[in-house]
Amino acid sequence: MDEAEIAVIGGGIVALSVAVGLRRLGRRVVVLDEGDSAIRASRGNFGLVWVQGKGDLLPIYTPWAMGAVEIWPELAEWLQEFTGIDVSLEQLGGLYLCRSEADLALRAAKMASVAANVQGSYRYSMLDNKALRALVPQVGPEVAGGSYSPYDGQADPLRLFHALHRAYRRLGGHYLPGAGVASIATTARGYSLDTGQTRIAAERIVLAAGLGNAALGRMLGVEVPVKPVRGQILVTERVPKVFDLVMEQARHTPDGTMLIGGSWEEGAGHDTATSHDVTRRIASDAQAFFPFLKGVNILRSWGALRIITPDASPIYDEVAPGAFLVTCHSGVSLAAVHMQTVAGWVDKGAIPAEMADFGLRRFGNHHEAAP
Amino acid sequence: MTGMVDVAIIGAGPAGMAAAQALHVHGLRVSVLDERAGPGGNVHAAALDHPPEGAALLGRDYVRGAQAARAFAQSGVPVAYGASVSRIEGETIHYLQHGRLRQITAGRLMLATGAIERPVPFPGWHLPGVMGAGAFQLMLKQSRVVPAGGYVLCGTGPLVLLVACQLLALGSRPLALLETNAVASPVRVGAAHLSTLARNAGAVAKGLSYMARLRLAGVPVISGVTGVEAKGGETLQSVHYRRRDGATASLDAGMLLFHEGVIPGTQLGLALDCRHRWDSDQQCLVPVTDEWGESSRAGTFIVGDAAGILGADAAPHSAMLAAQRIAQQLGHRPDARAVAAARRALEQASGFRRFLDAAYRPGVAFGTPIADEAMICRCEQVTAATLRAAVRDGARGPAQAKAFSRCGMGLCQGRICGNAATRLIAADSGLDAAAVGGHHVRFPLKPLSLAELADEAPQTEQADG
Repeated sequence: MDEAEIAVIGGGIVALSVAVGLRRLGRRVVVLDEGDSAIRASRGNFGLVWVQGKGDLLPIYTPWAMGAVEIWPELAEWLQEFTGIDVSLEQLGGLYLCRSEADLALRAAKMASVAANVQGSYRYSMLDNKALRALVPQVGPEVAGGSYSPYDGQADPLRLFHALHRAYRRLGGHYLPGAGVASIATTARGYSLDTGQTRIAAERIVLAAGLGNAALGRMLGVEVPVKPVRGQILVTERVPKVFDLVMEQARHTPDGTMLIGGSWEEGAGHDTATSHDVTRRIASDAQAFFPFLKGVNILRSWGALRIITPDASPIYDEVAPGAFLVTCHSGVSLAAVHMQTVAGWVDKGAIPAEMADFGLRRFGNHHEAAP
Repeated sequence: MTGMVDVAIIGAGPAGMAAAQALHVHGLRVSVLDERAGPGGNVHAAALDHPPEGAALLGRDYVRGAQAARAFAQSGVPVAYGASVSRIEGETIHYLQHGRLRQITAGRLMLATGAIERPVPFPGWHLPGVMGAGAFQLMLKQSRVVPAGGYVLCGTGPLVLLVACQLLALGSRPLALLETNAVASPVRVGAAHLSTLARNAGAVAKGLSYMARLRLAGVPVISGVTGVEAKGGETLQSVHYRRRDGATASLDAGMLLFHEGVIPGTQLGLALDCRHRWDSDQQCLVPVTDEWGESSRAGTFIVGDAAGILGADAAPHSAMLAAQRIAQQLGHRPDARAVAAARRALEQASGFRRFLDAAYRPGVAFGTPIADEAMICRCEQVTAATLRAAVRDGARGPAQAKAFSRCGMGLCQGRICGNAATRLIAADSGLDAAAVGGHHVRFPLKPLSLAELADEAPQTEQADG
C-alpha cells in the first residue's frame, strides 16, 4: 500500500502539469498512469499554443486562455533550465485557414463572439485571400481566407510531455506506470485508489485522466461529460521551414517535419485508427492550402482523441470533498496555467469562487443522469 | 489485375508464390502484390534476371529458386510488381505502383512478407560500409556487382558462411570471418539432435561444406567474438572486436557484413493490430496464428517466415496449409493429401530449425548489452543512451519511449529499431520483453506524396494492374 498527500490520476500533459505544480509546492504526490498502450491525447497532440476561437460557448474561457499563453514563456524557460529539454515555444501569431467562403463566414461569426467575451481587448483580424497571401505567400489561390490572431503560437507537444515527466521525476515525484485506477473508495483520511495490483491512500485526488475521467467520475457518482472527438494528422518528411506563423492546418515542428491536420470526427468512439477517406481529404485540402506541398512525402498518419465537453471548454471542479476534476482539450495551451494556478487550487484545497463558471454545474442536471 | 478478388497475397517470395498457385488451382481469384520487379522474394530476388551461369555462382539453392520463380511466372496468377502496400482498411488494400495509388478489394488477406535480418545495433553499425550480410547478398543478386574488396564478415549462422563462400566464388576473398556464435561447440549440440540431422543430411552437409571451403581458401575464422565496433570517418575504416576471453583486436576493412540470423517481418501484421507474442528464445515478435496460419484478425493469414522463421524451403508448406484452409472456407474441398504432406514437411523443418537455433546463438545480440553510443534508431539518429534516458524518465514501452526520444518515429517506423528498442527497454526497466511489446505501426506503410494520396486512381482505371 502506497501513500501520498495527493494522488494525480492520469499520465498525460494535463496530469503532469498539475503534478509538477504540486511537487513545486512541496506536496507529496503520486502519479497513477496507465500502460504503454493507453489512449493518450498527449502523444497525438498537434502542438498549438492557442487562443483563437476559444470561449465562444463559455465566456470565462477566453480570458483564461489568454492568461495561459501569456505565462507560457516562463514555463518554457523553466523546463529548459530544469530538464535540459527545449520545448521550442514560438508565439509569433496564428492563422486559421478557410477553404470556402462559407467556412470563412462561419469563422468570422465565431471570432466576433469570442472577442465579445473580453470586451474588445482581444485583437484579431479576418483576412481575404489577398491579405492572407501577403502574410503567407505560400497559401494557394483557391483559399477563401482566414482569421489571424497575434496571441497564438506553438510548442512541441512531445518535448513538453517528456520535459514534464522528467521534471516530475527530478522533483522527486512518485510515478506509477501500468496503474490504471479500477475503483475509488472514500476513507476517513481521504481516498483509497485500487489499481488491481496495489492500493494507494491519498488525502486528495486529482482526476486528470482525459477521457478516462468519465469512468473515474462514475466511481465517485458524478457524470463527467467528456466524449472523444477523433482528429487525424499527417506528418511529412523533413522540409525547409517556410513560414513562421502557425496554422491550425499546418505547422513546422522543431525536428523539421510538418504536421498537417486535421479532422473532427464525433462518431469514432475510442478508435484511434486513421482512415483512407479522411487522410485523403486532408491531403487534398493541404494541397489547396499549400500548393508547394504536392510533392512532399507523408511519412505517417495518426489518429488521436480530443477530450471534448459539450461547450468544448475545460472543467475545473471539486466533484467530491478533496477530489478535483481537471479536464480539457487544450492541455498544451493551458499547461502553464495548470502548473501555476490549478495546482495551487488543489494545494489549498479549494477552487476560487470566481472560477465557478468552469464547474460541472454549467451543464445542468441532465448531465448528471446521462452517461 | 481486377478490383475485387477472393485472396490478396502480399509478397511473391517462396510462400506467396506457393499460396497463389495453390489457390489458383482451386479456381479462386487471387492477386499478388510485391514491391520488387519480379518474383522470388528476398531469398530468390531477381531470380529470373540472371543467365544460368550467373545464377550458378550464387549456389544451387538459388538455381532451384529460379526454377520456382519461372514456374510461378508461367502460372497465370495476376501479380502487381513494384507495388508497395500503403494502407489496408477492412478488405481494401491501397497500394502505390508507378507513382499512383491504386486499390483492390479482397475477401481474404495473406501476408507472405518474409523475414528481415535481426537488427543488432553496435557502435558504428550505421557507417557506410557496414551492411547486413543478407542485405549485401540481396544486392549481389539484384545488381550482380561486387563492390571493391576488403570484406570482413561477422556473425553467426549458415547465411554468413554462404555469403563468404559466394564472395570467394566471385573472386573476392574475405579478410576474415568473425564468428559470434555464443555456442562454443555446435558439434555437441548436434549430438543432441542426431535424428534431426540425419533427416536433414543435405542441409547439414551444405553447412559443413561452406566451412571447409573457407578454410581451404585460407580465410581466417576467428571464433568466440562477443562484441564488435565499426570505426571510421565518413565510411568504415576498421573493425574492432572483443573475444570471450576479453582479448581485443582490430582489422582494417572496407566492408563489414554482419549477420546474426533473421526474424519475422512483422510491420504489416502490427499495422493491422494482429496479435503478436514475444518469442523469448529468439527474442523477437512473432504473430499469433492458428494451425492454418490465420491470425487474430479474421480472414488475415500469415505464412512463411513472416509467421516464424523456418526458412525458404519450409515457406511453401505453411503457405499450402493456409491456401487449403481458405479454399475450404470458401466452399472448396481441401486437398487432404497436400495438407498432410505440408504438415509433415513443416514438422521436419521445425526440428531442423530447433537444431539451428540451439547450435547458433547470436553472441552479440543476445550476449552483450547494447553500447550507449550505438545508434538504435537510424532514421532519427537516436542512440542507446538517449533511449535509456527515456526509460529513466518513466517510459515502459515503445510508444512512450518513442514520444520521449523519437526512437521509431522516422521513415522506417520502427522496422529496423523496433526489436532492439523492445530488448533495451526490457533490460533497462526490468520488465519482461513480452510486457514491453512492439511499436504501433501507422499508415502509410511507405512514404507517399500528398499528391499521390490525394489523387488515388479511380477503380475503373485499374483494370490492367
